Amino acid sequence: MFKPALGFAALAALSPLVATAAPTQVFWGDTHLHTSLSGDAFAMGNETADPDTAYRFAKGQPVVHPYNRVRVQLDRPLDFLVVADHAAYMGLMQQVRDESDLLEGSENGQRLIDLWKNKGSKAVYYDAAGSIVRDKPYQDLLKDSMREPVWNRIVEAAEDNNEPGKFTAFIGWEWTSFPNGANLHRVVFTDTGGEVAKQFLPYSTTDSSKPEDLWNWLDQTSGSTGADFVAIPHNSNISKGMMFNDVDSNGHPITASYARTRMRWEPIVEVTQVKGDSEAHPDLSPNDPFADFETFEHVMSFGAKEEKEFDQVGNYARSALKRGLQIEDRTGVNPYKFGMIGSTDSHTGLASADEPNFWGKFGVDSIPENKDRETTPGASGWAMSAAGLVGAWAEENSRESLFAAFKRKEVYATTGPRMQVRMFGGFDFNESDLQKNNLAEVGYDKGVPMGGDLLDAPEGEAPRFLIQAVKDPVGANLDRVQVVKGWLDEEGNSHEQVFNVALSDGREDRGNDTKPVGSTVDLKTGRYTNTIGAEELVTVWTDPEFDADQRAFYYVRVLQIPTARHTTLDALALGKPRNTIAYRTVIQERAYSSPIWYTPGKGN
Amino acid sequence: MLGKLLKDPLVHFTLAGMALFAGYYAVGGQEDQLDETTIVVDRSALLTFIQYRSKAFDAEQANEKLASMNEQKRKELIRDYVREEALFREAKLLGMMENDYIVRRRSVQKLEFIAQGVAERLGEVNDQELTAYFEKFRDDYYVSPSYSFTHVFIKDGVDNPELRAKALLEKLNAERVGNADATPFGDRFLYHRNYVERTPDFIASHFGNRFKDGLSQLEASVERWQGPIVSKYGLHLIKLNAYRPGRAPELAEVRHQVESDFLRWQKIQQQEVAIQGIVERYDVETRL
Repeated sequence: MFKPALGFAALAALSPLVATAAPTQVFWGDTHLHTSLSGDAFAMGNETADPDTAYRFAKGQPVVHPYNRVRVQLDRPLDFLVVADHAAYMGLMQQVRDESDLLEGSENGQRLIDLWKNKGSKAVYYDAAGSIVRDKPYQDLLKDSMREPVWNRIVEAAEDNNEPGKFTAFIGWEWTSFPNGANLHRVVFTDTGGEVAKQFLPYSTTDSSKPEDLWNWLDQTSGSTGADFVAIPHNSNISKGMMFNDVDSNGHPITASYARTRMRWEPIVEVTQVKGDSEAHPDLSPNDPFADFETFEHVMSFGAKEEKEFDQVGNYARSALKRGLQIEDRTGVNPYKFGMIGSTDSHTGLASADEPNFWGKFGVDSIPENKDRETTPGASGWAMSAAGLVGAWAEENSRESLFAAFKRKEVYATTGPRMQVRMFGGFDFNESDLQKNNLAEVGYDKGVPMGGDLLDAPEGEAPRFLIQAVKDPVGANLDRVQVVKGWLDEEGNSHEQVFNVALSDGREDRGNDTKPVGSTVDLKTGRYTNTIGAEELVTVWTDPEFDADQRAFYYVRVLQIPTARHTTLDALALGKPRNTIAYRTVIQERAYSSPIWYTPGKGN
Repeated sequence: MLGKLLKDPLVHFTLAGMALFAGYYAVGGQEDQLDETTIVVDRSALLTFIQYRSKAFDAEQANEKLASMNEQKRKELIRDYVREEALFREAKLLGMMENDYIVRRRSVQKLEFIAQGVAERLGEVNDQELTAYFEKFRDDYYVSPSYSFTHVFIKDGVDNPELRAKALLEKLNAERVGNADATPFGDRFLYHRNYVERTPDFIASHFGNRFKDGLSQLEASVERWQGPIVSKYGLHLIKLNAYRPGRAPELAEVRHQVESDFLRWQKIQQQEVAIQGIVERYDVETRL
């Protein structure tokens, strides 16, 4: 049952209407944005877009692009933003460039200043990054006196730009752990304000590259300052199977205690962003024809030795959700019971995930002419994905309300477009609910929203899901709504199945043989028309294969009708035949809801 | 007067810039030849050297630093200066400055940073300047008109929408249905039921332009349901609680934003003025 937050009182004073709005509304944001204070961003063409610039852009104000110097703007502002610069060597590039007094007495500092003079800023970045990959960070560049001014600047920019009710600026950073090139990165952000945030310095991979140590630090810092945190793993797709492993950092099988601690701090995973999509992999989900979306497999080795085979299961969210059920079966606690979001991971200070308003991962690949350059090891600007966004269902736009939505996993991912996706699970939904004009109230009243749990099913009943997907008001129509189900059988084997639960244009569901929605993309202009697809798809879906004794999870995947990929638009801009760029001409943008879990034997 | 001039960072900047450019580019004049093998170590050379090293163009500070040095430190400074100057001249003689793109870029970059640093130090906001800035850029702070309303939606293509709308309108007004009590009426709309302080553009993105135009014809009333207004989806009965016309706010209301914009603008201006000052010292001959 939904209970409105106390914070409502403040907004209610603004207008008599707010109190009567739907229980929650969707707020759009990016929880993963880098600025010029990240060393790689600086080295790759963003020397000027700082946190303040990032906030201006997110709020819809025009700013100057840090690399190509054109005026850039979002046509629709975001509702919230986390500036998440790498904690390791945060702001170091600026200090080396300026030959800052803070580097006096630091041997490596002086060495990097000379390196900059002789070989330029990129060499400095690679030198510093190399020290992390080799796990021998330069201690004389990690003094509090060097880090504090940079952190305070980030904190102050967030404080200046946080406007409750209008725009939420969260204070955060990225913990950039990559042991042997395996991407174990987490974005960390806090619900707290500047005064508390200035009492700590962001935990960095130079402190430890083990997630267990990060959680321990979060626990201690939370205890000593009162700040709460959410840590968000991302780019599991290039984690060499380690992000959602069967074992902990020391190689021991995951225990109930590990699982509990992990879930305390990591309720959410970022599954779609500029370096590809991590929801599913075609090899792991051979029966899912839509699983191969923005697949990106360029591990950032930075000179680390190439790995032999690794376990793909640990790389993708869907297989991790399944693995979580298995570990829960064994230990009693599920370490991978996470919700899903998208965010950009843009390094330009510009949070934009729209194919036609995409400014690259870095500064250098912001223009079509430069997209064939290598930006991260093994990958060019063409390989990057113009994604993603977080949709958060919350009562109001404030740190408190949005942070709570993350903690209860009432958040979802899109690959850029702003489609509204609601999902409620329960046992009482029926067809007549679809006629109601207050779907959200019905959903909260009779069930749990995405991110929630269903316990023991009533005798003979299967879970029912009330699902509503609405197109982006200024975007493309919808092709279909699917439910992805994962479950565990009596032998402890996990399974998955994708169901088409609502199709546009009156098509009949024939599983994988369902008639495709078609495409309206004009390859001469890159434009599409909304003459196919649906503006809204709603359904009450009942699991036809439900077994009340089996653990299961369910999440929604919504597909748009095909639209042009950014590479197609760039090929047009360059006057190149599009087949010279080896990427898909059109893509089906999508949304992934956070799952709802069914757990037998926990009720009553 | 001179004291004041020396405190002005822009003067420092200009002097520093001239020195730097003279050093890097005024290579090989007749008079220079005479001094080619003589390095003069005097007070002013050392002061300049100190300022370049610390990247802080503050003569007073440099003076203090020089004065506070003991014999040993001063010797080291002179040794460093002579060493750098000698190697620099040698490199110059060998023609290493010419056509070296790294030197060229590095020099330009350095000047840009100096200009930026100078600009960053102008961090105080003066009321008069702020007001002048606000007047000049007043359009940037324009607040768009906005509507706050609840709507009851009647879908196209079901029964007779016009008749249903007419009957519903009468009922809503007769029963004096408030915003919060309108939920049981009408069909489900794609987006929201309530719109609070939304701009015409936003409304158009949800309902289409025709609806936006229709809405602009209504008068706000917290009592009365009005309409129907036609959108691309069907008919809408509207309770338009408030309309706020577009307006230009007073400085006091947006002062925080204006201050931050002003500082940013001032910084860019100062940097640009400084760079222009340098550019203008050169005659440009185009020989295309």
